[in-house]
Amino acid sequence: MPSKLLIIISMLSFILSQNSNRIIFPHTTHIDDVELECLECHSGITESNSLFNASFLPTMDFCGDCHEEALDDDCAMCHSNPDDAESYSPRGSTYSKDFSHLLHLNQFSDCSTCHARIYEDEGEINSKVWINDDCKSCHSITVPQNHNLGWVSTHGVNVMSQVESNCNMCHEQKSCDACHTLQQFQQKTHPTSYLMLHGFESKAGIMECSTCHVIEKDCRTCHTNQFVMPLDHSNIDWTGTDFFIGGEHIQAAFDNPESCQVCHSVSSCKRCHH
Amino acid sequence: MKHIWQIVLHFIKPMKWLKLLVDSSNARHTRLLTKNENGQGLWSNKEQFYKNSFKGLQPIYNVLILSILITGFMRASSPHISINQSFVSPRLHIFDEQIVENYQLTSFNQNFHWQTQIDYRQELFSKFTLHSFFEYGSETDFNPQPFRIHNLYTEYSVKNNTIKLGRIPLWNPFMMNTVDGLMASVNLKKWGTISLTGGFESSEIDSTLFSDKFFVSSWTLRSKRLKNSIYYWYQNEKSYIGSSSKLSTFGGINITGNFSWNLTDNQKYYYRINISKHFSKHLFNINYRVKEIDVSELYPWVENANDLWVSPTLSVGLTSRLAKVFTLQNIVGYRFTESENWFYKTALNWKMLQTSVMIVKQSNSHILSNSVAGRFRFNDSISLGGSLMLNMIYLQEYLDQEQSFGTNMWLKWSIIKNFTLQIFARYYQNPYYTVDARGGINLNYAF
Repeated sequence: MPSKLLIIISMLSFILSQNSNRIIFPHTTHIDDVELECLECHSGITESNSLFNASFLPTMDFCGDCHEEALDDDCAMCHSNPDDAESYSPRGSTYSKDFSHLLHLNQFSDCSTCHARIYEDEGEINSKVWINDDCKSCHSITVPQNHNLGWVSTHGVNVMSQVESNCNMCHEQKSCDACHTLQQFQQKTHPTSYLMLHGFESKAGIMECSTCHVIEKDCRTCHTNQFVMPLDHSNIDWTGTDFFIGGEHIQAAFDNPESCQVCHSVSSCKRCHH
Repeated sequence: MKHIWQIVLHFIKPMKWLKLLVDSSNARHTRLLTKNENGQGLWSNKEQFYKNSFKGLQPIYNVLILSILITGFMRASSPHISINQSFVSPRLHIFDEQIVENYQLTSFNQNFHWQTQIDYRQELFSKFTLHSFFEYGSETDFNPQPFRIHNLYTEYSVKNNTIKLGRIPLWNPFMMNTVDGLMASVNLKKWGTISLTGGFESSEIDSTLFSDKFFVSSWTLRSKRLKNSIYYWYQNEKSYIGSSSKLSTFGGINITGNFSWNLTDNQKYYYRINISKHFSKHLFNINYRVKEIDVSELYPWVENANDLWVSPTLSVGLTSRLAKVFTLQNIVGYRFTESENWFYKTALNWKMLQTSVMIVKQSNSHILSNSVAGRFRFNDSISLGGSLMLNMIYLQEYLDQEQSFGTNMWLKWSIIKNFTLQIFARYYQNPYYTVDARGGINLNYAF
C-alpha cells in the first residue's frame, strides 16, 4: 500500500509541476482590430482532411511578416513558455485526425457556423475556438448513415474494425452509460419482448451479457429473488429421471456452468450429487 | 408531490444530503445474499440490504463536496445541467402475490415508478471540471436506495495528463466498473500513456471497505496501425494481467485481441479475438470468445473440475451496404457445446425501417423470432417510432409450441430548444406471464 501511495504522489507531482507550453494567439485582436479574414492565416484549410498535421496553421515565418520584432528577440510574445518553446502540438482527441475541413466547408462556407466562439478568443489559456456542442447542433439531427435501426446491434463490431474510432465526436461517456449501465424505463437497448429471447442469446454466447450485467445483481433479481425458472427446466427429461440418467441438465451444466451459478449454489447440486 | 418535497428536503438539508451520499455508496456495496433452509440463495429482506461498513468513505465525500461548493462559488463557469424525469405505470406484475408477500418484495406492489436523473458538469478554475450524475427515484430490487450516485468526481487536466478524484466510471476492454478513489493518467508522448486507478469498487455487492479494494493500471502505446494496452488489475482479492490490441494489418485486415490471465489462480481468464475486413461495401468479421469461471467452486464433487471450461463461441458476421440507405446484416454463431447450439440472425435495414429474423437451435429447443421496427421523423421537432415482435418457441417436440408477442411505440416532441417530451407504451405477452402493458413519459431538459 505505501508503494502505491508513493506512485500516486509521484504522478501528482509530475502533473502539477508541468508548465503550460502553448502558442498565445488572441483571435479577437486579429479579427476585430486588424480585420484579417480567416483564409489569410489559414490558407490550407479549404483542402485539409486532417487536424493532426496542423497544415492549415500559419508558420512562424508567416506571423513574422507582421511581428518582425517577435522573431528577433521577443519569444514570449507568442510562446507561453519561451525557455522551452514548442510549435503547435496536436490538441483534442485522436478522432481529430479524421476531421475534414474540406468536407465541412463544402456544406458551410461560413467558418462561424462551427467557430462562433472564435470572436471571444482572447488568447487565454482555456479559451476554446471550438467545442463538441458545435458539432452536435448539426450531428444530433443529421446522424451518420450507418446509424440505422440495426446500429444498436452492430456498433460494437464497427468500433472493433478500426484502430481509432470517432464516437466521442458526438458521444460522451454518459451516452454509453445510458444504455450499458442505467436502468431504462423505455426499453431501447434490447429488442421488444427480449425477456423471451435473452436466455437463448445468452446460451448462444453471441452477446457478452457480463459487459453490462452483473450476475449477482441483474440475473438473480428475477431468477432467484422472484423464482423465475428458465423455460427449459420444465422439459420432461431435464433431470432425466424417466429417460436416462442426468438428462438435459447435465449437458447444460457442462456446456454453460456460468448460467447455472446464477441461481444454483454448491448446495443445490449436493442435494442429489452426494 | 410527496416525492418532489423529498427531493427539495434532501437538497436543503446539507447534512442529510451528505448522509445520503454515503448511504448510497453503502447500498451498492452491501446487498447480501442469504440462504433459506433448503440452501437456495435468496435476497434477504430490505433491512438486510444495508450493512454500514463503508463509513470510511464519508470524510472523503464530505471534503470533496465542500471543496466543490466553496470553489464553485468562488470561480466557476456556467454549468452544464441536464435533467431527465421519467414516469412509468403500472409496474410489472408477473409473480405470485403470495410470494411477494412472504418475501417482502415490497417494490413489486408499487403501481407507479418514477426517477429523476441529474447530469451536472462544471468547469472550475479553468483546469478543474466537476462531473456528476445523480438519480433519485422509486426503490426497486435493482436500486434499494432512492438516491443513487452514479458519478461524482473532479477532473484536473493539463496537456493530456489527468487526475480524477471521487466516484469514477471506468471502462476498458476487461471491465466496466465504478470506483470510489483516485485515477491518474500521464501522457509520456512517444512512450504512450500510463494510467493508474486505485480505490474501492462501488458496483459490486456483498463486500466491505477492506475486502473490496480495487486497483488497475494500464500502459497504452499507439502508432498509426497499432494500439496496444497492457493492464494489470486487482479485483475481488485476485490479480489479473491482460493485453488489448487493435492492429490494422496490410490488406485492410483489422485484428482486435483481448487476452487476460488470472495471476492468483494461474489460469486463463478471458480471451477474445475479432478479425474484420472491408470488402468494398461489405464488412466481414470473425469473432472467437472464451471466458473462464472457476468451475471447481461450482462442482467441488467433480474430479478434475479444473478441466471443465465455459464453452467457447465462434461467430461470423457480414454487414453489407447494398445501397446508400439499404444494409443487410447477417450473423451466424456456433458454440462448442456437447449439445447442438446454433444461432442465426439476419436483418434488413432500409432508411429507418428494419425487419429481422432470428433462428436458434439449442439441443432439443428451437426458437424462431420475427420483428419489424421503424422510426419516422415528421419534422425537426416531432418523431415517432415503434416495433413489433413475434416469437415461436419449441422446447421439445412433444410439448406444445409456446408463443410470445411484443410491441412498443414512442412519440418524441422537442417542444422548445433543449426541452424534449417523450411518450412511450408497450404491450408484451409471453409464457412467463399473461400480459404486461405499461406506458410512461420522459421529460428531458438541458441548460
